[in-house]
Amino acid sequence: MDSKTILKNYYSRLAKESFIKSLMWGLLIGFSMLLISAAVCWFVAFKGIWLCIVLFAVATAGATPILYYKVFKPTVKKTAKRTDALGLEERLLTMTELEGDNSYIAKRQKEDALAALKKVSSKLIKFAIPVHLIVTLAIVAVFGTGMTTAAALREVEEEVKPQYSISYRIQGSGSIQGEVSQEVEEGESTIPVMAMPDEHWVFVGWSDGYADPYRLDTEISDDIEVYALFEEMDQPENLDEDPNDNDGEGEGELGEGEGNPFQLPDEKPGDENEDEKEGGGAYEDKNQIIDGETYYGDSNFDNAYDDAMDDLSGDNDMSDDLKGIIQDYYDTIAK
Amino acid sequence: MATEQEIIKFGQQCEDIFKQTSRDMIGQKDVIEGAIIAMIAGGNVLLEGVPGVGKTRLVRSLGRVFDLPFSRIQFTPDLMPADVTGTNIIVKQKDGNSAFNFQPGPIFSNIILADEINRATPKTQSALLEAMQEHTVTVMGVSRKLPEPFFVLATQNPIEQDGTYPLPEAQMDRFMFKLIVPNPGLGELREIVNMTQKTMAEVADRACTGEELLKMRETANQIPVASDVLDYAMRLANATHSVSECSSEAARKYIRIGASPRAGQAFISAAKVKALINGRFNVAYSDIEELAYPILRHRIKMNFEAIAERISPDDVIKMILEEIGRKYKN
Repeated sequence: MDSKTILKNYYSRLAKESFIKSLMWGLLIGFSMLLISAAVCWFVAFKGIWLCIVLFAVATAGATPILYYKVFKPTVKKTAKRTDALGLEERLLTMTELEGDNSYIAKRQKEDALAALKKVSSKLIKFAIPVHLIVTLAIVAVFGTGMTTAAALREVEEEVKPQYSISYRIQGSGSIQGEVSQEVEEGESTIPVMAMPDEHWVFVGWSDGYADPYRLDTEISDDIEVYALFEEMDQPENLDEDPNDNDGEGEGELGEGEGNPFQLPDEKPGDENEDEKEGGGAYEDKNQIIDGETYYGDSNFDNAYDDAMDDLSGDNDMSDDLKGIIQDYYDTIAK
Repeated sequence: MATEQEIIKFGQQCEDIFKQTSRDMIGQKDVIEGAIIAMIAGGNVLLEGVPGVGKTRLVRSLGRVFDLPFSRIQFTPDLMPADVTGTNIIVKQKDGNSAFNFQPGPIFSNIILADEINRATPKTQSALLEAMQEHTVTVMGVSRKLPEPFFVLATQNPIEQDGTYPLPEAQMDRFMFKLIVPNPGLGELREIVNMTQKTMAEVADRACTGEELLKMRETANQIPVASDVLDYAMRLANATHSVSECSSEAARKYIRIGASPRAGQAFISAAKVKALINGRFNVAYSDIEELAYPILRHRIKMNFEAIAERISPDDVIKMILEEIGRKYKN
């Protein structure tokens, strides 16, 4: 009977121990991979939690058998050595080395070893799992699962973040520059829009009371449906003739194309209706006095308007200066 | 190749040797065992102890037990090498001419009791070097073989430092074991007194002859040593060096000179005998560990730090055993 057969029971006991050790090391490697990959996902905000879990499973499943066969698998010598530690005083270790020796001493040595072996059961071999391995595995497992849970929660949180509909509508005659219908995540801001009245119309505010035609909604927490309110303005009069006659019935009545307060100074209002203009002849860009006090004959507003349009079409915010000029203009009109 | 009869005979003779030695010696079991192991393994023994603890008596008893011629040399400062080895003297021959005739010294015996060996000068101590290692004596260019088996069993007194010459390392290394003979315990002391009140005579009988002793050595020599156990013994010997392949932390801290290769040889020779005496047919780690103290304690030279901290060689050996055992056995 060879040493391997003699030590069969002890070998299988040690094989179990070796498998547990391999599995623990495999788990340690798996959890380390999980920890690293989950941390990477967390920091770069990459939604790859399933990838982390797959990586953990692959690392554990790959490392365990490799470690078992390459490192921990018990040999006959290892088995003999461990069994000897039960008080057999290196009898089995020597026996395995003397295999094939037919001398009298070798024979007696084997008999002596077998007699001693009968006194120890394989169950006396206690599983020797290093404490530092258990502790390290526990720590890495806690951190690995913790990091994964955190990354997963973040992912879920991002996935379920509510979206709100933002609708900018028009009441009256005018238009809204920018996206009138937007989907915005909770807590985020809308893309800015700007209410633009048509000719002879004036923007009087938003339906929620906000007065600035330029609108940027921040920290969205609900659906928004808001109207840009435009009101038709009175026809301007020929101020040169009679400043008090503002009913439009004066000598120089405005044609259809006349009296647009937003028209650029170099775009002659009513160009297309030269005849009518001539007929009324009272209104000119440089004579714009809407509120009876302020003169808008210069090009401040027009330039500001052009710049604002450029900014908005380029997805940029308007500067405060531009906003101020435009706001002043509208405020004046609103009066 | 050892036979069944030889193994059985070995066991019986060992039993007889212990039994007969114990008739003259009360207690000191470890010392007796150590001395017998060394003698079977073919090594010399240095016995260290205070006066009156039975060192000389043990050596005399062993001489009787092994039925071997026994010489006692009392080492004194004026002892000359020729007093030990013998010398050529001019003798008148029958034809009237004179010629040198070698007169053998007391060393030409099987068992030499070198009593208080450290009282002789280094020159005289050195006279034993060749005898202890090669079992030959060279006088005036002529080498003479000593009778086999040959052992030097020396005693030295640790506290009588005045007028003593410490044994040189080379001499120390030739002793397989250095055995510390302790003071007897209370019970043993009572037995000693009771026994010596009746008679001072030594009563040990012959247990085996010199030839049988050589045969026992041959039998023990065939005991197998597993490669791991052999490695362990060599690592222990190597670990006593402050700079070596497997030097130990204790050695780096406390040892100036470590054990020589003779320590490795002594480990294996003695461990085989010890295993067979214990009825085992293989050498165990425990054999090596138990033998580490008598084999290493006189072969390591402590450094100043050890002396200052009152660390003894046995303390360092214990540290080395723990360190190497922890690293290597598991």
